[in-house]
Amino acid sequence: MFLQQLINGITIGSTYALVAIGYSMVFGVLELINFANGSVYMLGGYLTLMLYTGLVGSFGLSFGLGLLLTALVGYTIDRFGLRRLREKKVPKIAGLITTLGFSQIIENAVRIFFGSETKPYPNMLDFGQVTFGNVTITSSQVIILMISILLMLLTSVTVYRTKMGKAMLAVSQSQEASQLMGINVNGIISLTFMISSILAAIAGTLVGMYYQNIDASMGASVGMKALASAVLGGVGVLPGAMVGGVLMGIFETLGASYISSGYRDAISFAILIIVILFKPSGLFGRKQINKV
Amino acid sequence: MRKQKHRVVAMILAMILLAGCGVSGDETTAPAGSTGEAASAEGTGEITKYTLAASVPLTGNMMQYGTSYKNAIEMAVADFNAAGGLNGQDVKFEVYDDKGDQKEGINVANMIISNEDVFAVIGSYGSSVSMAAAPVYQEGAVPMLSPNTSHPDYPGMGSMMVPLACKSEVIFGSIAEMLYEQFGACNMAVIYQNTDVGITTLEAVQERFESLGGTICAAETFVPNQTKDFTPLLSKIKGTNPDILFIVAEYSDGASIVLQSKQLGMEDVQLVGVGNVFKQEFLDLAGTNADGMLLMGIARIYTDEVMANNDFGEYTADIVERYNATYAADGGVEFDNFAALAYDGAMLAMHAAAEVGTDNPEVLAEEIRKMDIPLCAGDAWFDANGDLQREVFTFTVENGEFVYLPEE
Repeated sequence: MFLQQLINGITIGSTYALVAIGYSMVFGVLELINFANGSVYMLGGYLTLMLYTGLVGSFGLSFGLGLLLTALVGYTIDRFGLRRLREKKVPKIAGLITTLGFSQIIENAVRIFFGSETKPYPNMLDFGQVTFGNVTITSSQVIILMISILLMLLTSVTVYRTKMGKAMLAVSQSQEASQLMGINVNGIISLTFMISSILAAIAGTLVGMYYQNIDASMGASVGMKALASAVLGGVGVLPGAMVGGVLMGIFETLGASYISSGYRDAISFAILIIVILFKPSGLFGRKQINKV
Repeated sequence: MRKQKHRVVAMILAMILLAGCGVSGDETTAPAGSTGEAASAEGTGEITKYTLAASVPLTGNMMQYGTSYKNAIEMAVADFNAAGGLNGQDVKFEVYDDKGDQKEGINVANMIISNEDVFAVIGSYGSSVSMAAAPVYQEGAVPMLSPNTSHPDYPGMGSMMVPLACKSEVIFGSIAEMLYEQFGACNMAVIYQNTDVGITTLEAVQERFESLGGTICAAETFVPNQTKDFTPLLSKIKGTNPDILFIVAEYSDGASIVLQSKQLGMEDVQLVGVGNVFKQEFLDLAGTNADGMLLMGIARIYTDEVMANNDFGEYTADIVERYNATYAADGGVEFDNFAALAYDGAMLAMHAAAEVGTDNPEVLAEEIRKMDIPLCAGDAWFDANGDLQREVFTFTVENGEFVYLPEE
């Protein structure tokens, strides 16, 4: 049973990791927690489903369109919400509240347009399951894990190996200095929001397919857990967010199975608190962070 | 000059009126203002209030249930008014949104009791909200008919509380007994939502099933509407080799549990669901994965297929047909047990008001408890202990459709 639980935990943990990367990236460049990220995760799953059932009919195409639209929403959050605040040099807390506002707008807009009831989701990843003794692994679990690892590698390469990624790192160190060096700071920030939204949307779609249903409130709890994963790994550090996410999934699953199912969330957050007590910057964190 | 004359006339009239009241009060013990209705010993039979209120969730996670309630009560009020209303005067219906939240439920309750024209209230969805608001209605002396509050402590919270759903221990005790009769002394695992109703259900099932000789091999809990990943709980349950998996959940969580149990290879476990999963949406989510599952509860299913193949009586069939024509025509939720209970609740309150008047809430609540009008949600009665009893219906799922299994 331990092995089964571990596989369950890693699968769900890898989707937390995708959302956690978004928190970490935005925090890296803006020193701001984007609370709308959880809602964007939900929105991504919804848009794919709605395009698929309502308009397009081809899952691949609607998935692509869904990602594009979600990226647009991510861009909107920054362009029409946060950039104005940056220009006016408003305290960071206002930006934080703005992202909370966006998360409410997205969630309730989805409820108004698509209804609040849980919707069935087609599972495109279902190619059967394999059983070894007591352990059952489904194709969905394998594919989710593979896609997540691939995306994590891709994001790491983008951030640490490309010119664009270097610009992001530069902006995260000093916006003024980056601007002086000819980096389009606003452009980089928008890009960061779009990448984090796309990752969240992919995670939302994968989770929708995995559980074969989706509802408007699914973003809230995942958002909290992904944020906790990012903090656990060290906010602003990409490998930290990834490891943090997977660990969070494993803690939660093992906690639920070996300690008490009623306290599963409490257990994972308690472990988070213990880690933070002994290593305030998170498992992989290096620099001291001034949190908003 | 003219104005003064009017005033004098008005004053004289008022004096006559007051005197008249005084006289009848002093000289006779007969109820004042009797309208010829059969008045009981304590009540005067006078109808002074004409508003039926409802506290239901119209926004938030639970809004689909609240909408069913609202539609059904609206229809019941219209039907009642069409049949003459309260002494020829129409009953008004006022609906308040409590968002399925305890704090909001209390706010709404205070608003409702401060409205002098309200004679009874229907609400709310779920035991948690109803029980938070119950003391306010008791204090304000407004009879509260609660369509699906099954918590055992609810009826004891005051004379104003009229449950329309059985106490969990009554209903789940009999369901546990029916399961024991069908499957014998086997291993049963329970997965239940961490709410008042979930916990009391577990206790009731466990107590009866174990006292009969069965074994509860696992009992796992989750947070409703938040938990999406049931695999840790189900893997743990799978390790205990259950024969029956008893699911206590709302329809969306219930569907997730069914799907994920199949993904974990729990094919040979008999799934049993209760009450709240009796919804078409459950089948939309679970599909053929729910085939063979047993659904037991005091709630029936009213889908077109089930209605076509089973006879639930003319009264019920007529209500279902009219409800669906009005509210489900353009994409609305079809008639379900929530609607049935809310319809019955509204009808009970209004008929009782017509029978004994609205000026004495105690008498009114007592009259409602007699339940002597036709009910569309199935037989219901208060037994000698004062507990509500209802008939238990068993359904199964075949090829993704609900099928009624009448008792032999």
